[in-house]
Amino acid sequence: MRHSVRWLAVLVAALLVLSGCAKSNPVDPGTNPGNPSNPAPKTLTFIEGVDVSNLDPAFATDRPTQTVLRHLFENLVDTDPATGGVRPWLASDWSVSADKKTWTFKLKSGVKFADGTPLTAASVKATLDRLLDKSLAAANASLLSSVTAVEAVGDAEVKITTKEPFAPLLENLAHPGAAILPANFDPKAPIGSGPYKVQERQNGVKLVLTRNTHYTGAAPAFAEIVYKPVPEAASRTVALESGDAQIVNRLAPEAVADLKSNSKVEVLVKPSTFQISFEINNRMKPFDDLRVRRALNMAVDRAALVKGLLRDMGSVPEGPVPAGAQWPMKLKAYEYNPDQAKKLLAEAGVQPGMKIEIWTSQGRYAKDKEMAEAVAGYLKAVGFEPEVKVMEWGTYSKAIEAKDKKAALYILGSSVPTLDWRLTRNFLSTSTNNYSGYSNPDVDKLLLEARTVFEDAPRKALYDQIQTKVWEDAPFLFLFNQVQIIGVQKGVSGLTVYGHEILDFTQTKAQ
Amino acid sequence: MLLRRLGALVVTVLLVSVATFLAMRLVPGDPARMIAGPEASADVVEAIRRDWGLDQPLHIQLGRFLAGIATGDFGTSYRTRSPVWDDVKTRLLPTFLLSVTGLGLALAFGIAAGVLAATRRGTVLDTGLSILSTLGISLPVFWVGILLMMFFAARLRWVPSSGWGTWQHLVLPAFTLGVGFFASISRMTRSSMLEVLQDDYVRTARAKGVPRVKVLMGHALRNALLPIITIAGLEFGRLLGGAVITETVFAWPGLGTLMVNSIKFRDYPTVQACVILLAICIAVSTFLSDLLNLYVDPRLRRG
Repeated sequence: MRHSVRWLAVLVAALLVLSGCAKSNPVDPGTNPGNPSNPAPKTLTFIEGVDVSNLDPAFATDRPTQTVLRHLFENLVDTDPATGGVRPWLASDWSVSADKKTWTFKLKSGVKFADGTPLTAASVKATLDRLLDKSLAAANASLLSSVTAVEAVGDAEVKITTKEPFAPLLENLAHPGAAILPANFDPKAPIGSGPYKVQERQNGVKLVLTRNTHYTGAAPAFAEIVYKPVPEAASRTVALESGDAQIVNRLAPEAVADLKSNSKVEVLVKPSTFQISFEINNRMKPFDDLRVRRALNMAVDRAALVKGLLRDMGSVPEGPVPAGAQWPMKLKAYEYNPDQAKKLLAEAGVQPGMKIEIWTSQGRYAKDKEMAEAVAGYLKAVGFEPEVKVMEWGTYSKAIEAKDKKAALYILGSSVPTLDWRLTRNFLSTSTNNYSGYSNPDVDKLLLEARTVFEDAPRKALYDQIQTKVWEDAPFLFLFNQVQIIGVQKGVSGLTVYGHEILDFTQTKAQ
Repeated sequence: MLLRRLGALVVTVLLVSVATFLAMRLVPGDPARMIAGPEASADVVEAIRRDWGLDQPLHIQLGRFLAGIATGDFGTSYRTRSPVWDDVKTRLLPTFLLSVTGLGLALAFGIAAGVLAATRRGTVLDTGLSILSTLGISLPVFWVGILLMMFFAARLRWVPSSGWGTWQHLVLPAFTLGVGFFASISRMTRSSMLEVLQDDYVRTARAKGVPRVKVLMGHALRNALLPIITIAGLEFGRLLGGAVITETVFAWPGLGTLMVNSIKFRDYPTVQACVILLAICIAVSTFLSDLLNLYVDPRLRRG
């Protein structure tokens, strides 16, 4: 008896000591927007689905990390969602030489990094040279693949030289991967010239940003941003309902209906650059036949899939570039017409009962596996004998790169916002990312031509032509356009949502 | 005996390391592609592959890895680009706290319920507890977690819904984790107690007039506890790495979620470090439960 009491006491004591290890900080005023006695919270708590991977722009490839980078750093230029072009940011002005191979950027004066040191042309040169440095093996190195030299002219001017005339360079410089860093950049203690700086980082728990006192632009309303990763979508919904965060990203489509009846929160549904398709293996017979690819596109009732599987949190594609991206062109959606599809297949000599493989990932895209099963059902109805193969993403992303893959159709999302990169990687016949094997000499020609046109309007006209041709060639079974589902507490305003799923909190306010 | 077990521990960890290394490489997938991101071009993927030495033959990669752990260097994470140990070490306290609290709650409630059920065998209370423990075993952790969260965090707002930082953050995940284990502990205590209560020494103790509570707690429970301690030791080791679902639901920064995320990202160095740590934890907790058994049961000490 005495022993067991003592034993229990030790256990209880141990528990108390251990629970004392966790920092005791019961109520954070900033994270309690539901409390009326606290009218203007200083802290903005933002919940994402994954943790920030790392804070080195050269290696940040995921949108959540890029969202954080946007608050820490600035680029030479910024994407302008209103025009699809770019607008000044660190560079106040720029020009291109007569041979179109040398760009000159004039820097704004007086910009400082968070440690007080000035941002100069030397910083820009150091940043771009670092990204180009082969020994760094930067994930975002392709942004500057056209660049041959970067030169600092005095403190306020930078010259960038490219191999060939390359108009998309401007958009690439607006990518978060090309954010301007100090010459002595240390990824462990990242310092930029953005409105915020890193205050604290707890792996898998939170990242705290505070105002950068050296920031020369208008100070953001929130003194502090707390980024928290919550991997489970259902838990993110509860976090929004319980007021644990003012902004919660990536809500599940299933949660939207419930949240609509909640008077304390608001659900924002925004267009995205993400378009999900079943890419068609254009190298495989009979899918090299345009009639077959068109038949596939007519065999699937996308509206029913968007309604049934996505609960209307998505839209039917009207062109190969969705609304969230640069210069989308609205074309005629493929109609659902299984009879016409059967006719086209018969014309192309496809025998009913043909066995095909449909590959899909699971959990990478919204309802990907369910989409594959539904599409298999539709294709069965027009005479194919489909088999769905489900793979985990790491395995999948490798398998689809093979030229001789057995898949007739495989799901893949396209997320790049800028048209040159988006369209060349998918549709240029010589691109290493063109996994479908699509090849159209006209499209190739137009894609390369667009790189040499430096004015927005004629360039956009070329991309319109490309989008029209690609849409008619049906290299993919275009499936649906994703939307961004973001939950905010009522009273939170001024959130900027970019099509490529990057959020900007610098204008965000709460009542 | 202690030395022999320590030697066995080192050999186990070494075998686990090599097995994990090989298993990760057998799984299809390409870490270089994961690092480069879905938008990168093929030459960038190649450059990354060379930079991380992933283009080297397998035996050379294995050699480097083993040489690293021999000097206590687990390598650099592909995802966070910081030393793996820095990423892993911050996960140890949360993992340990959650396991200890979850297990502690389960043991406290489970043993109490088991003893109650055994002493009131066949009553409504016994049936009720039996239903409760059946429920505890069969309810999915995910469902229990979300339900608790919706009620206590969203409705009542007593505790934060998820995350880590204060003791309040620990309450829901610990209860969620404890539910399943509570059920098995209470069932085991009940059957173990019932067996012991029929033993001669219990009858003797009662016959010579020892108070009922003292018979139950001092004589019967102490003997009934032995199998429970063994199970708890094993379970503790398992919990350290196996609380993935609870950790994910509550965004708890434990080892389990780090390991699962790292497997998805093909972050080989982090996966290897996590598995090695878990192997050590399981071996150590099994060892400790053996020691505890020696303490509770003097008969074992002579053997």
